[in-house]
Amino acid sequence: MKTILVVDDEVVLADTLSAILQHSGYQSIAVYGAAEAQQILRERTVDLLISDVMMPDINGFELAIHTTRNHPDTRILLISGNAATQELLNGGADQYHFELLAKPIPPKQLLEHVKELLARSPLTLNGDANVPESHP
Amino acid sequence: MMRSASQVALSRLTLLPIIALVLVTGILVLQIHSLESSAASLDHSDAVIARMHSLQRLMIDEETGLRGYLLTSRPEFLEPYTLGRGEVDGDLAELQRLLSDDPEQLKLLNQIAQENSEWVTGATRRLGQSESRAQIISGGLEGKRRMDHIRLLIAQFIQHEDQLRTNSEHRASYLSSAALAVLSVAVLVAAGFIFFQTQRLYQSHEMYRNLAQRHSEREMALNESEARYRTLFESIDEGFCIIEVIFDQRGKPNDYKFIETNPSFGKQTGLVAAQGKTMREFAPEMEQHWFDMYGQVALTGEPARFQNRAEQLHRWFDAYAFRIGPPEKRRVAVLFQDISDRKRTEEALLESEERFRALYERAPVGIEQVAPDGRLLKVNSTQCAILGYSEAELLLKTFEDITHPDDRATEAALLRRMFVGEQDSYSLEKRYLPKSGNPVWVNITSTAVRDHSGSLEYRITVVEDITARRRAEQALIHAEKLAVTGRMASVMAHEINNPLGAALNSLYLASLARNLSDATCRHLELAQHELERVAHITRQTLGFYRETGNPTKVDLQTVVDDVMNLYESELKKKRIRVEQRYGTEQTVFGIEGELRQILSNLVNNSIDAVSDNGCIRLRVAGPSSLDGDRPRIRLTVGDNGSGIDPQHLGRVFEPFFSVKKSISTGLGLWVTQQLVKKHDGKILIRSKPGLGTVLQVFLPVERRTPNRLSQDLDQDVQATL
Repeated sequence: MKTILVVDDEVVLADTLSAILQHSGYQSIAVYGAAEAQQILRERTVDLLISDVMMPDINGFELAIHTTRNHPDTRILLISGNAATQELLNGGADQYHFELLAKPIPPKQLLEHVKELLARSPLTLNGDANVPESHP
Repeated sequence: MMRSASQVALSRLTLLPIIALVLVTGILVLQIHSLESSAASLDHSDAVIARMHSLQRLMIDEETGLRGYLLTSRPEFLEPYTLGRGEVDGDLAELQRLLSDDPEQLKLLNQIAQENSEWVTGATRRLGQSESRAQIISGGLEGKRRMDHIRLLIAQFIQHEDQLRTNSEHRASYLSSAALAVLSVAVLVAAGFIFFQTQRLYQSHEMYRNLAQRHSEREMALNESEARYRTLFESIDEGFCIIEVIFDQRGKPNDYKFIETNPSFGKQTGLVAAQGKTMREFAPEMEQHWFDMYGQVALTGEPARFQNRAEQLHRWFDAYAFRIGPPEKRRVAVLFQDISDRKRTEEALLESEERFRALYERAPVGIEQVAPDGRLLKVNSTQCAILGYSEAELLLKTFEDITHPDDRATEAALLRRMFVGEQDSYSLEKRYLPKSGNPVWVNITSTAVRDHSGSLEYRITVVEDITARRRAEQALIHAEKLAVTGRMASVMAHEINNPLGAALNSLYLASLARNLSDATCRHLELAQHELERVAHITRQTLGFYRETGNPTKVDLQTVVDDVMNLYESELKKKRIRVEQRYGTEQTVFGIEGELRQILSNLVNNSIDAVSDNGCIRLRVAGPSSLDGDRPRIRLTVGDNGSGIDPQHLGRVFEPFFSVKKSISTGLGLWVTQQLVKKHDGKILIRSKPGLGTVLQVFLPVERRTPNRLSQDLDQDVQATL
């Protein structure tokens, strides 16, 4: 069973999303902040990180970068209801390339994305082509 | 003139006795002459008669003597005859001499002489013979008869001569009486003439006396008046002079001499002791127009009034010049005043007026003078420029005519208060209606000008064109609105999306429950469907709004990449091929997020339009400029999808209009167009059903230069970049 970490400062969203994932057969954990997320990441192996971008303190983008660096095996999917997100992403476009979905995402669509992401190998998703695919 | 008449009379009078005398002398001479000739003639006749008498006596004596002798033969009787012989001849000769001028008498005399000679012959013969008594008696008788004949002739002669004598006498007396008569007449005439002339002389003397009296009266009056005028002349403040204009050989006036000047002359001109001197002596550089002017007055006799400057005297004069005296004297009287001060004041006033006029005309604000009834009394050129009317056109209007209808009531209220005296001025932002074009926003301040009773005489309105300011304000408001909208949108997006997401999730979870009735399932599905629609709408409309919206240079390549990234999975799913082609330039001037939204919407449409294995073409070309417009990049998004029906093509940019079979807000292209317009861009669509659709977006390359501010701010969304 794959482990998915859901991060969103909107509690309702995080919870319902997590419930959906849970129902779909994934191990899903919902946290409400980047700090907690990082905590979880340290403790467990997370196959997929789904995170909102616009969050107070550390935003999803930063979290994503952190995750890529420290937990290269973790796939990352960012979601956002805000156009500014893309700007942020562009800030690191030459180095990082994260999947971004726009809120609100119909659950069915999300599940499809999740399924597809998990099917792929982590490195080809998150990193640069230059990053060696040496990690398992 | 009087004198000469009486002089004439007098001369006539003097002449008359002389003429009379001459006449008399002439007559007398004539008289004497005629008397003389008469006397001579008388003498002559007397002499003739006397001589004839003498002759007669002699002849008689001869005859008697002879008869006697013959009768008596006494020698003493022969004495008279012999004595008489010589004397008779003598007398005859004498008579002949005397009668040399009288041929008739001479003839008679000759006859007598002949008779006598015959008698003598006869007598002589008788003497020589002895005669008988009878013979003596018949001879005597014969002789007597002859003698009688001679006596008759002599008597005839004497009578004739006597007649002559009497004629002479008559003539003499006639002449003398004629002369007397003529003399008398002459004397009478002369007397009459003298009388008449004396009368005339007396009359004219009388007349002359009257005239002389009047003349002296007049002279007195004249003196009096002269005295008055002299007082005037002396005392007036104005300068007065009499000048004599001097002409050169060509008849051009070039100087004048001062004949007389009044005391004020010096004060007015600054010249002293001018009398006798000429103008050029004082001011050699005196302007020619002075001489020309006076010359003209002197020649034409027409007075002139003028004002002019005398540079060398540093003065301005106001002068009135008129000819005085006979024209040939070329004298002109000039009454003048130094008006330098006045002129200076005038000039200063004019200058000041000019300045005010300049102020009034060139003020950067419009200035109106408005009558109480609203008519425009006066407008300056700035006001005309603001309104696009000429001054003449504006003066036919009232201020209400040119005020926007919506603003009239407001101003009317303010004006009422001004009328009743509640306030003396008011300010107001309103719109004027120019001759052509859109209403002009102005800020006016109107101030009342009242008469001493306090009622409104007119008002002065200062008009400031605030179009630019307003436009800027509007732009600011608009930008604010947009910013607010953007902010709002951004916030809304956030606020809506999250609950939406949560709701969707919950519904999904609910739908997973077992043992749901069909109805419930359907309801849940419906709910999800509707919410997805809402999500779609928000994504379309609020999706890409950001908090701040300052335009920058944006690399289209980046935008394309971003958007492609966004749709990567969808594109992959449908196995859509994407062709990208770029020109040399890729930078546009705009808001990145919005540009992304534009492209996103277009790509989204294309994805919807094409079937599997379809193709989407992206092209960036340019920059190019149309009609000298700002240069723009052309972004083309084309697909080989289903295309759009021609009858719908015109409506695709309408909000809530959609031709899509699937869920569609109908807002996509509308929002896209709004965003494109906001960028001062243009969007065009071409489509052919079954072939595909092409959308072209033209976006500016650079920041717009400041003076090209958009005119139309009343629409909701405008290009503000």
